[in-house]
Amino acid sequence: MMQDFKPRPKQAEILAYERGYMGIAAVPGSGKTWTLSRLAVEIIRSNLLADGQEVLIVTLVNSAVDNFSARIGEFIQGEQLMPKIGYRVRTLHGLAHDIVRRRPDLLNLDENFQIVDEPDSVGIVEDAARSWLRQHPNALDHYLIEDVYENEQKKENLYRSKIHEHVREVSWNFIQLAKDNGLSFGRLSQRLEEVRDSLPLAAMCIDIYGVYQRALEYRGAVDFSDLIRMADQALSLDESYLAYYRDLWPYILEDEAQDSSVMQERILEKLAGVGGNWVRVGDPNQAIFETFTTADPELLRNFIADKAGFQRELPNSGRSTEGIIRLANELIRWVMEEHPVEDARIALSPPPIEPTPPGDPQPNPPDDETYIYFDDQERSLGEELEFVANDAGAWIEAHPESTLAVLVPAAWIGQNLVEQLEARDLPYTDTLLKITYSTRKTVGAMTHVLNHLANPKDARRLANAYKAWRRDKQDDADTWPVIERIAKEIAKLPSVEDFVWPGPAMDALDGLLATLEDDDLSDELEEFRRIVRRWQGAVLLPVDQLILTIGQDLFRQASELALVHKVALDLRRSRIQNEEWSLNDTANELKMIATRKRRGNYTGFGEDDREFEPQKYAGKICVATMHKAKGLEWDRVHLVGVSNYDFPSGQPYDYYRSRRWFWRDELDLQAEAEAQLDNLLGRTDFDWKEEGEGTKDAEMEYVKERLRLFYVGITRAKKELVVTWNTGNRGDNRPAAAFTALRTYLESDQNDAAL
Amino acid sequence: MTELSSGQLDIAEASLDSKVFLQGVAGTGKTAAGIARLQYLLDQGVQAENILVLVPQRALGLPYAQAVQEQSGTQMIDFLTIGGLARRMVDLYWPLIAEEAGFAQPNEPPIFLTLETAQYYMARIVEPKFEHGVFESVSIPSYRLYSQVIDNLDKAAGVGFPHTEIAARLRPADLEDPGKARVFYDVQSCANEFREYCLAHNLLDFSLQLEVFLEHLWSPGTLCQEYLIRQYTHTIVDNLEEKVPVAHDMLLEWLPSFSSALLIYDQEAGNRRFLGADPDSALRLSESCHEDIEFTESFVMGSELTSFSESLRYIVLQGEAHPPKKWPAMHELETILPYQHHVYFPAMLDWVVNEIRMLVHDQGVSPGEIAVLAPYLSDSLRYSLVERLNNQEISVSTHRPSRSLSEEPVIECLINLAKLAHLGWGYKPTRQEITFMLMQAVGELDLVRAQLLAEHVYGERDGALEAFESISAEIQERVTYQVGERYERLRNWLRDYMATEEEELDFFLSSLFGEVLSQPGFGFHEDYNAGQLTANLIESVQKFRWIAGDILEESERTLGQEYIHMVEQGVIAAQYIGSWTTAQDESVLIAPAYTFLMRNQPVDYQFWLNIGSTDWYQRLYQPLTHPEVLSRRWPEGRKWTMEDEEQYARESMARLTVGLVRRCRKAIYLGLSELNEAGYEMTGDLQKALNSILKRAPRGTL
Amino acid sequence: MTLPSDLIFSQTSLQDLVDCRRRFQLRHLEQLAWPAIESEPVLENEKRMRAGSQFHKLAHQYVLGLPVDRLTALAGEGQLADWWLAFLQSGLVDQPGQKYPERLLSCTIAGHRLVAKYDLLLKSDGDKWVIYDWKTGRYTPKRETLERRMQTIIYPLVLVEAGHVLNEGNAVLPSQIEMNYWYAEDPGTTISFPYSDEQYTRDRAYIENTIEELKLLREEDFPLTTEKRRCEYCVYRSLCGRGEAAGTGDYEEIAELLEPSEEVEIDFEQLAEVEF
Repeated sequence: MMQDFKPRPKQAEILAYERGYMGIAAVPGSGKTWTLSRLAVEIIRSNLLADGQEVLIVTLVNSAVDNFSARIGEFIQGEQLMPKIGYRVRTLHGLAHDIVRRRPDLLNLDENFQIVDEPDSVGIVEDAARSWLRQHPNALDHYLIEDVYENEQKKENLYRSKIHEHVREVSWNFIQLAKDNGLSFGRLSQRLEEVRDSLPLAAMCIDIYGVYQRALEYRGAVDFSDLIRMADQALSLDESYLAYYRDLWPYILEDEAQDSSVMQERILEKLAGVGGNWVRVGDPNQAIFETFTTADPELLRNFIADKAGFQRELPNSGRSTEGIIRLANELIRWVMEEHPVEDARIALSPPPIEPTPPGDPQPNPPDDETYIYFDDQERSLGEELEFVANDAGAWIEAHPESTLAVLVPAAWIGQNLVEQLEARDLPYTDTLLKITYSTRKTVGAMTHVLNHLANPKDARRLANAYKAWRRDKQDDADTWPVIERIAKEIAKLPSVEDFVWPGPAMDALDGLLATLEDDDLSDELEEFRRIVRRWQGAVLLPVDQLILTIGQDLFRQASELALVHKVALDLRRSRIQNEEWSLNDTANELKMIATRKRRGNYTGFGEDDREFEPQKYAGKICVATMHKAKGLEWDRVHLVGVSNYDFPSGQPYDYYRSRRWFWRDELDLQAEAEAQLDNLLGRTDFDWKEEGEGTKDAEMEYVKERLRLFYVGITRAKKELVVTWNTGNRGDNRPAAAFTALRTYLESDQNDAAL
Repeated sequence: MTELSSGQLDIAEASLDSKVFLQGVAGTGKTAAGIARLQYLLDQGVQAENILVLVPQRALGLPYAQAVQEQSGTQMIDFLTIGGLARRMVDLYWPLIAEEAGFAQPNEPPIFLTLETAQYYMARIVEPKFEHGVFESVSIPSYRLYSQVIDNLDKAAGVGFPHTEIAARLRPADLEDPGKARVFYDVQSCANEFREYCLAHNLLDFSLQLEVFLEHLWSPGTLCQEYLIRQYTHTIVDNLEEKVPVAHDMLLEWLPSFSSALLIYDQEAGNRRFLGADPDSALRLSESCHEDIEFTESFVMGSELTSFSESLRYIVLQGEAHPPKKWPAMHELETILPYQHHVYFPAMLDWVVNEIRMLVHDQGVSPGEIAVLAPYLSDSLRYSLVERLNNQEISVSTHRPSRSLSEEPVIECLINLAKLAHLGWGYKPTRQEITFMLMQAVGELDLVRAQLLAEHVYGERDGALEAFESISAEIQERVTYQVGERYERLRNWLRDYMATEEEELDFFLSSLFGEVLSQPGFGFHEDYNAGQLTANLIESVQKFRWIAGDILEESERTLGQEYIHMVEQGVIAAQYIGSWTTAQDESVLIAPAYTFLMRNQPVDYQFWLNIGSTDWYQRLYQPLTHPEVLSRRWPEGRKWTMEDEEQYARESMARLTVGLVRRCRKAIYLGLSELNEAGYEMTGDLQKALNSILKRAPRGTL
Repeated sequence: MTLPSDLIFSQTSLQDLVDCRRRFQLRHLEQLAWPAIESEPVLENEKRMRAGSQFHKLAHQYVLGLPVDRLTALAGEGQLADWWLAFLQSGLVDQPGQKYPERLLSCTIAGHRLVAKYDLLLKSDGDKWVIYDWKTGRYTPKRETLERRMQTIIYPLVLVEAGHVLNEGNAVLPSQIEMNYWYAEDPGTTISFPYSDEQYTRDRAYIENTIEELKLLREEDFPLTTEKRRCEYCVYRSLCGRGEAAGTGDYEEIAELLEPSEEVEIDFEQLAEVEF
C-alpha cells in the first residue's frame, strides 16, 4: 500500500536528489521517515551503487532503526534475494560499534573487547568518586551554603550521602561530555597542570576520569562514549580506513538530524567527505535530547544554511486539523516575538507548519473536529491526574475506535497515572512508558526461576517460579484462578525437598493434592516437578547453558527465545568478567534488564517494541512521556504538568531541578563543572566563564529545550488537545509562561472566530 | 580403499629416487595419493623408520598411520610435526648444545614449556610491571596479553628473524601514534626479558625449541643432522602450505639428501596463516623437485557445486580469479543452496535442525554425512544445537576446545574442596560454591538438600565445615541421615588431611578422588566423565609442578596456591586442548568452519550458520602482534592499511568458503537470520557475495 | 566382541589382560582415565619414575655417541648418578656390534598389532641378537617371576616376527636371541633368558590364544582379579569396590609399577588449536 503512495511536490523534489550535501527542514507530521526511506530505495534501485556498497542511514534510537529497516525491506521486497542488501541502518552507537569492530587493533583494543554499559560505568565512577572524596575530604566546602558550612555534623552527613552521590553524578556526566568532545584523560590532565587551582570542579572530575579510564583498561573494556570517540579516532588515524568506509557508504542519509551531536556530525562529515553525498533531515523545533550532551539544533540549522548544496523543506503536514496547526504555529510566533527572555527567543524557528495542499492523498482532518482545551484550574498533582484519568476515560469510552495519549513530563508521573487508570478499570497501555514491555515480561519470568534456584528451599520462590512457568494462562479466566490456587499451596510447603525430591517415606505432592481437593491436578504437579528437577540439575552448567535450558521450558515465541539466547550470551560474558558471581547476582542482573536499569541492546526482541503503532491501541489510553511520543500521533492528546516546574521560562520565580539546596548561590555544580571544562580548553581570557555563568547558561538551554518539548507535545495531536498543570510538591508552581500565552491566544482566537 | 586414478597411481608408483611436488586444490585426491605412495614405498621394501612423514598437526597424520596399521605386517609409521621433531632432537642432543645455545645450566636437563606454562612464566615477568605503566595504552585482559607476546616470539622463530627485532618489524616507519609506539616497546622488552629468563632457567618455549634446533642442531656436520639424514631416506610432506618458512628452509636444505620425496601443496589453503604458515614460501620447494604435478579434477563436488565454487571465488576475490566456466543457474542453486530467511537467531536454528531431521529421518541420509559449520562457534550456540538435535534423536559429535577446564562444574567442585582443605592459602568458597560442591561430591544429593546442608554446616567467615551432628535434628532429618553419613565421611577425610602435612596439590586431588569422591556413595563413582576431567586437572597441576616447582620454591606461595591463583587469573586451565576426537561415523558434526577444513573429510551436506557474520573473513585482531606484518613477504616499515586488510579479508573468505564447498558433495544449506546471536543486525560480505551469485544466476526454462 | 581395529597390543596391555580382565577392559578398551593414587609413597615413587626415564634417556644418548662426560654431568648426584656410574661400569653398551637404541618393532598376531619397544637391541658380531631392558625399580624380582612376565615372552617373540627389517631382510631365528634385564639398583645383576624354537612356538601359540580368547569375550565377561592384593596398586579400585587407599608395601608382583612406562612420550604439541 505504501508503494502506491504518491509523493507530494515537496517530497518529489527531495526524491529527485542524486548527489551532494542536502539539508531538509521538516515539520511535525510531514513524513520525514517515509521520504527518507523512499530516497534510500531510489538510490538502491538506481545504478548509483556498486556491488557491495550500501546506503548508510543514521537515526537516533533503536526502534527507529527497525522502523527504517522494515520499511525499506518492504519497498524493495523481491528485488534482492537476500535480506538487508544495499543499505545499513544504524544509530550512532551502532555505527561506531561497526567501525571499531572492524579494526580494534588500530585502537589498541583486543579482539574481544567488552562494552561496559551505563549502570556498570556509573558503578565504576561511583567507586572512583568515593575514593576521591576520601582523599579530598573538604574539597567542596566552599560551594556549600553557609548554614551547612558552619555545622560540622550537618556537613559530614551531607558529604556521606547527598554530596557523594552528587559528585558521582557530576563527574559521570563530565566524563561523558569530555569523551563526547573527543577529550582524552591524558590531554585534559596535561592542560590541567597549570590551572588546577582555579578550576577545582574540573580538577575533581578529571582526577576521577583518570581512575575510571584505568579501570576500563584493566577490564579490556570501553564505554559507549569511548566507542564513538574511538570510531572518530580510527577514521582520523588511518586514511586508508576512512577511504574504505567512503567507498562502502557512498550515500549517507541522516534522520532526526536536529538531535545530532558534535561527534555524530564530525563522524558523518568525515565519512561523507568533501564532495560526498550526505542528506540530513530534521526539525530543529523538535530537538529535545540536548541536556548533558553535545547535541544542538544549531548544528543542523548551520548545516542547512552554510554547508548544504541543496536546501529543501517539508513544510506540509496532513497530521492535524488546521486548528491544532494554528496553535503550534502560534507557539513558534510567541516564542520568537514575545518570549519574556530575549535569549530564549531562538528556541523555535520557522518554517511554520502548512496543511497539505488540496488533492493530497493525506488530507488534514476537517477543522471542525478541532477541540483544544487549556485548563488553568489550580490543582495538586494528584488532582490533576484524577482529572485527566476521568476526562480521558470518559472520552475513550465514547470513542472506542479512536486513539488517545496522555503525555507526561516524567516517567514516574506516568506510573502514578497508571495507578489511577487501574483503579478506574480503564483500558490503557503503558508500553511506551517502559519500552520493552515484552522484554520485561520475558526476563521477569526467567528471573523468577533463577530466584528459585538461588534459594531453592524457599517455597514462595518455588510458587513464583510455577506462576512464571504458567504465565501464558494469565488471560485465561478459567485456568488462572486454579493456577493461583496451586501457587498458593506451593508457597505453603513446609519443606520444598519433599515435593521436588521426595524420599521413599513421604511425597509432598500427595499432601498438595489433598489440600487442593482435586486429583485431576496430579498431572499438572507431576509435570511441574519434572521441570523443576531439570532446572535444578542444570544449575551446575555454565550460566548461558542454564539460561538456555530454562528458556526452552519457559518460552515458545521466536522473539522470546531470541531474547533468551542473547541474555544467555550476555550473562556468560558478565560472568567471565565477574568470576565471583552467584545465582543471586545473576538473578539481580536479570532484574536490572527487566527494569530497564541495564541499557544494553535489548530492544527489537518484542513484537511491541519493533515499531509502536498507536492505531493498534485504539480504544485504550496510551500513557507515555513526551520524549517517547516523538514521531507518533493520536486523535486526542493530553499534556500533563505544563507548569513552570517542568517548563520554566527563565523568570526569577522559576525553579530548576538541577539546583541542589546545599550549594550556595543556587549554583548548578554540573553546569559549573562543564563551564570549567570550557575554561580549561578556552583559548582566550575573553572566553573565561566566571562562577555562576555556567549555571545561567545551562538554565537557559533548559528553558529552550522545554519549549521545544512543549511544541512536540502539541504536535502529537491530530484533532483534540487537552493541556493541564499542577502546583507541584511545594504547592507554588504556576502555569508555564507558554501555557498562559497559548491560552490567551485561544481565548482571543475564539473571540475572533466568534466575531 | 577407493580406486586410484591414473594420476594418483603415477605419483604413488614413481621411482624410488624421484622428487615430486604435487599441487592441487582440496578434493582432488592429493592425500590419497600420498597414502598410496607411502604404501608403495613400504611394499618396495623401504623400512618404515626410514620414511619421514611430516604433517602440520597430528590429526592430519592419522590417515597415514591408520592406512599402514590396518594392514597386517610389521610396519608402523610414525608421523611428525616440525615442532615435534625439534623438541625430540633438542631433548636428545641437549648435552651437546646447551652451553653454546646460551643456557645458564647446561648440566641440568632442559625443561620444555607447554603453552600454559609458557603463559605462566610470561605472567610472572609481566605482572609486576603493570604498576609501572607497562601496556597502559592497550585495553586487553592480561592473559590475552601474555599469549600475544609469546605469539610474537613464535612468529620470530617460525619466520626466522631474531626475536629482538619484533618491535622494529611491527612498527611502521611513519608511526605517529605515541600510544602504539609505547605498546611495541613494551612488547619487545617483555619478549626480551622472557627469553633471558628462559635461558637462565633452562626453559624452552616453542620458539626457543625451534630456534635451538635450527641454529645448533640442524647444521652441516653436527651429530644430529647426520643422524637425521642417515635415519630418513624418504619423505612425504603433506600440507606443505601450512608450515612456517623456517620449516621450508630446512626442507630445502634437506631435500638433496633424500632418495625420494613427495611434497604435497594445497593451492588454495594456508589456513594457518595466522599461526605463521606461509604458502608463498612453500612454493620455493617446487623448483627443487624433479617434477611439479597439478591435480585439477575434483573427486568430491558435482558439476553444480563446481560452478558454484568457481563463481563464489570469482565474486569474493572481485575479479582477481578466473571467471567461472559457467554461472550456476537458478534451478541449480535452488537444489545445492537451500536457504530460508529468519528474523531471529533461534528460529534459524530450528530451521537447521528441522532440515537435518528431514534429511536423516525422511531421506535416510547418514548423520555422518552432515556437518554444521559456523565461522565462530560460541558455547551457547553449540549447546543450543546439540540439545535440539538430541531432542530429534540425532547423534552429534562436537569438538569442544572452547569451554575451559576451569569452567567445568567437576573442576569447580575439586578446586573448592582444595580451597577448603588449605584454608591457609587464603581462599574461602562462598556458600553457594559449597552447595554446588556438596551436590556433586556427595552421591544422590539434590539441590534443595545440598543448600540446606551447606547453610547449616558451612561458615562463610572461617571456611570451616561443622559436624552433621551439630545441626538440629529437624534439619538432619530433612537432609536425611544417609546424606549426613556421607557428608561426615568427606568431612573426616578432609579433617584428617588437614591434620597432617600439606601434600602437593595433584596428589591431594588424586587421593581425594581415589579415596572419597570415586568411592561408592559419592558423586564421581562410576562417572567416567568426572574421572576424565579430574585426570585432566591433575595432569595440568602435575605439569605445572614439574615445570614451575623448583623456581617457585624461592617464592612465598606454595605451588597449589600459585596454581589456583593462575586459574583465577585465567592464565591456566583457561583452555583445555582436548585430544582430537575423530568424529563418530554416525553423528552430525558441529564444528567451527576452520576446524572442519583442517579435518579434511568431505561430507554430503553442509549447513553454514550465520551467513551475515563478519567472522567469515575478519582476522583475529591482536593489538600486540600481527601475523601478516611479521611474515616474510611484508616489506619492513610498511604500514598495514585498510586495503591490505580488505585484501586479506577477501582471500581468507575465499579460502574458507571455497575450501568448504570443495569438501561438499551434495548441498549447502544457508542459515540466515536478520539479528545475530547477540541481537545485532549483520550483513557481512559473504551474504552480499551470495546475493550477487543469486542475482546473476541465469533463470528460465530448464 | 569385536575389538577395535586400531587396538595395539603391548606387553603392558597383555600383562593387564592376564592379571585382571577388568583392568584390561577399563584401561585398554575403554581407555578410562581414573586418576587415583597408584601406590604410596607417591612423591618418592614419582621421583624414582622420573629418574628412571632420565636414565633411559642417558642410555639412549650414550649409544648415539654423545660425549660421556657431558652425560655424567647431567646425571648429577644421587640416585641417578649411582645408576649411571653402574651402567658405565657394566660396559654392556660398549660391546661391539650393531646397536639399536629405543627401537620399536611390531608384528601382526591374530589379526592385531603387537609392539615392543626395546631399550637396546644389540646385534653382536657373532650374529647374536641381545635384547637389553634397563630396570630402575626398587626390587629385583625372582627369576621365576620374571620368566612369567609378558615382557619376557613378547620381546623375543616380536623380534623373531619382525627382526628381518633390521637384518637386511633375513629372518632372526629364536636361537640367535637372548633377553636380558639389567638392574640399576642391583648392578651386578643381569638376568638373562635364552630363547629357542620351542619357546617361540609355545609363546606364539600362547599369545595367539590369549588374543583369540579375548575376541570371544562378551562385555560382561571381564571379571575382577582374584588376587585382591593387586587392587591395592590399581587406580580402578574404587570402581570395583576394592578398597580406598593405595598400597604402600613391597609387593613383588607390582615391581613393574615403578618402572617408567614405555609410553613416556608426552605430546608437547605446542601450537594450540585457536579458538574460532
